[in-house]
Amino acid sequence: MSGVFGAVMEQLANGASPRSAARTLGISLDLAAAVADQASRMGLVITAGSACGTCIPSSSPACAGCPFTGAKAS
Amino acid sequence: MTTPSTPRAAVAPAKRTASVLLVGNPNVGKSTLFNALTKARQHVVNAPGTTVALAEGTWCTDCADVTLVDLPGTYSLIARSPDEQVAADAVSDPAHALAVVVLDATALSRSLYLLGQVARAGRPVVAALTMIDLAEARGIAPDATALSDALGIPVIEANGRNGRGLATLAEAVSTALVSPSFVAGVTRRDHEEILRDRLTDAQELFDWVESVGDAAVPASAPHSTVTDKLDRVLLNPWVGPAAFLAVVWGVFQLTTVVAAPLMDGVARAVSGPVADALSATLSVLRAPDWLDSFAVSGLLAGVGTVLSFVPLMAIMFAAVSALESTGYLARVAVVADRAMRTLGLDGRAMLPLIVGFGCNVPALSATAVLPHARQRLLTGLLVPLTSCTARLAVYLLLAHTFFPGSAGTVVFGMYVASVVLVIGWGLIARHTVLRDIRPEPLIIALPDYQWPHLRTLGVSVWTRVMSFTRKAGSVIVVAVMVLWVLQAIPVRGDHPIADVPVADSAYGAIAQGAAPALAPMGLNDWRIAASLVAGIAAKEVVIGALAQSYAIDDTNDQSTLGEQVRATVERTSDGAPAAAALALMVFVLSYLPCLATLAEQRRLFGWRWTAAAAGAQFAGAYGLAILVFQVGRLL
Repeated sequence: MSGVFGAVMEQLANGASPRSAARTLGISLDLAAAVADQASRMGLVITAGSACGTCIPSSSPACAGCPFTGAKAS
Repeated sequence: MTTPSTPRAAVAPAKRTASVLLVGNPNVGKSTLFNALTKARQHVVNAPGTTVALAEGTWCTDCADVTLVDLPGTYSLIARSPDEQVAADAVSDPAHALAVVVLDATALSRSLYLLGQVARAGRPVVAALTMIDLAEARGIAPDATALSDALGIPVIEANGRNGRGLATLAEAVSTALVSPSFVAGVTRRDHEEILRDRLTDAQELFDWVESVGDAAVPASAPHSTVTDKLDRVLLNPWVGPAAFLAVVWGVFQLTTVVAAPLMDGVARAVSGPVADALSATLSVLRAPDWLDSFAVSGLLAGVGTVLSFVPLMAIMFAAVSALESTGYLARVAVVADRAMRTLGLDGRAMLPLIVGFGCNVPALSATAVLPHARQRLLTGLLVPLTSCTARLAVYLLLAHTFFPGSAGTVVFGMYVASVVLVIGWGLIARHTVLRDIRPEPLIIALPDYQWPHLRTLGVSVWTRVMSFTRKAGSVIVVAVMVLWVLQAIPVRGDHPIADVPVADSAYGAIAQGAAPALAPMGLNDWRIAASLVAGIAAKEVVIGALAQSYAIDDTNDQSTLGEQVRATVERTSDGAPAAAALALMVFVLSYLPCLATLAEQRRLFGWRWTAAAAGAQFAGAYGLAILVFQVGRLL
């Protein structure tokens, strides 16, 4: 990956939040957040809110198979 | 999309009609702008082929009557929801003449990315710049002229609340409908081309967004936040794991120390006043003794077991939800990721496995933190191998009885054995029945730390506790009732139903039948077999069942029970009691999960996986216990 997209992804892979990635790279927070959002839509990044817990009931694709939605794991 | 015919169109034939899309991120003032532009001339329709509601309105510009379509807000044309898909479909639909893309001046890059995607679709564009007053207050207001120059399209500062810029926007749209304006620096691509290489597309667009932002937005000095400071500690390779262990210890304490009195209180209330009231009621109704025994010792005991778990589950769910909503759980996943990847899992699996050392039941529910069904399944199948505190009572009794000088070391060894079993079974499962699990790279967009939202937390806990009570609870109640029936039915002697010594009950007969199977591990005794059978209901029952079988009333007198057990094991092990005791501990560690755990597994993964995992676990425990005894007796 290259450019600002790749740079932000590298920061996220090292455990940075979009905010700290933005600070480290000297870019705006909303640009880093936009990269994280787009990467999440492409399945490259997990956003904490899309993982679990907050899916009450079944509000995101990550909730597929969640026991609390009544669906069984395959 | 078609333009509706209106009386206005009939009286103004000289004007052309056109469909214009209003596109933008959520919460950028798009709908305010729509209302200001269309006023009362609007109605709601469903997007074609969907139930997604769209607002359409008539916007009268100088050269055209425009049907303005207010699309659902989205950050990207890669849709996550039906609403966003409607926006993505509309942008790629050539029936629409123009897109007015609303740019949020306070978060310009996010808006520009969406603008870039709209431009990729080949749509002519006019940009409306909103939130300019907020951006000015923050010192990050973009220069609209510079932005227009960089983009090559009209950029109009517009405010739907006070009407500022709306006339200019109408003028720009009129002009663009006659002479379309396209975004400079973004090459048009067809939909299939974009789908083929989304990554390259995203990289190119973000580079373009950065260059446009540099040209139009003033630079701002970065500053360190509380999140940054906390992350420097909690994500440190050395301090992070220690902090994680401290948090886990806290969760562990919650699930054992804090929940225990509450569980006891519920159990005492059910077995005390509630049971007394039920007995009294049945007595008044002249119910037979067996019915009283069934209702109190069977049905009510089952309900009591379920209810006693409720405080534990509620505390566990609240703790996990709070950790998650503060943003800490995402950090745990990053810290634990490398270790868990050897099992095909990622760092998020660490939490349920750790919780399992407190109690397996909430640990199974905690697998919900994992995003993929197969990962939840593998973690859920490994959870019963974590040694819950109920098993600790068995270890303590046997360790103090058979290894009085090194009881602590033996108990610690059981926990090490538990970890080894988790890793071993995890590797076996990953290379056999769950070969399709791939250790995915875990890249988390860590959220900022925040205080949990109490209402959301409350709803989460309530939903999950109710789900547990309804689904797992029904299985537990039935299972406890079956055990009661087995203990109530006499198979020897002249005993009335529900008043049978354990040895003469069906339950005792089953234990006596099962006892020879324990001979290879030096434990051929019906009382030990009976305690293991009872332990399937709950591991807490093992000691009580042993005591009951030895007819010891005072179960607190463990030394006496220990002596009895030691005498039995010395006889059954043919002079190798320590090896047999170790085998028994290993067997208790992993032979079968308790009924509540089985019920929860069934609820989460279905009967097939639950039965298969329990069977494999039992076979493994049986073989391992025999191995321990047979090797141990030679030493």
